Amino acid sequence: MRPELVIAHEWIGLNVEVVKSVNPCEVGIRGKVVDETKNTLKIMTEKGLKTVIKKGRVFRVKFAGKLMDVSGDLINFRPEERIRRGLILLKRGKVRRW
Amino acid sequence: MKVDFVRFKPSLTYDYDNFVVFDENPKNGEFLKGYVVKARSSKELLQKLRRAKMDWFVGVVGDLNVLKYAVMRWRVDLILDFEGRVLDYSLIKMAREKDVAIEFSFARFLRCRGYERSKLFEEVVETLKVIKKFDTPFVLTSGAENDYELRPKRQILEFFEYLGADVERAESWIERLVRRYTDPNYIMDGLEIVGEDP
Repeated sequence: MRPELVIAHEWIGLNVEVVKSVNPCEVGIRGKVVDETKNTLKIMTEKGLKTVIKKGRVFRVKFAGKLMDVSGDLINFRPEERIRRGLILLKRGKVRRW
Repeated sequence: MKVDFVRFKPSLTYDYDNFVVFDENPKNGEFLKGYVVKARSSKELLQKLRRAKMDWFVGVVGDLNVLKYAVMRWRVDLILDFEGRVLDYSLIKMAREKDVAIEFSFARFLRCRGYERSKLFEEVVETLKVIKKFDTPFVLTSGAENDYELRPKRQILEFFEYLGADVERAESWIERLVRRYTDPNYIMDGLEIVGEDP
């Protein structure tokens, strides 16, 4: 699977880590995504369930055999719209295609 | 990353890491390749865009209608700076939506004198205000056609900063544009490959 399809893929069940955030207390939150809304990700960490806003954060995620940094602004929509909006973003954006 | 956009193969390098050499027929060489699309109509623009290879930076030269059409094309990376270029409000706004950069070259100021130069100053200051309003991608380059028009990066940035350009933003746009073609781990803005999954 192509790595860029992570923004169109289902995120529940993926292991993520917050690497950049406007709230410095959120940096380092690491765990499995258990739920998702339009604006937030719910991550199950060792210390319990954490709700992290998507906008303005950068998430490190393992996908298609690669470790990737994904900006939360790119996934800031409802999970049910993920496939359509993600593919549109890839199609219309200036994506490296070679 | 210090990269300059020029129209010839430079022999001086100053403090630049690399150059993007724009030509109507890009040739293989030590520098990055830029493809200049000079078109008088949208039909001609499309024909020439089909020739563009995937590792070429694509810059467009043409009148306002051609530029408006060019901005809507995915393959176009930037609007080059040339004599007689006209940019209006709607074009700059569309360039923001379609992620097409606008080039401002220092060489244009070197090539003109007197009244023409003062008009150019006025035009650039106004355009930079609109670009700042919409946060449109823009790049600050020498636009040199020979070695005598080349200038160090610092000099170009200081000059355009005096005219009201946000030079840090310009540097980030140029880096983003160059990384798109040179960095294999860069996919798009906000999406990068950091490493292999251990």
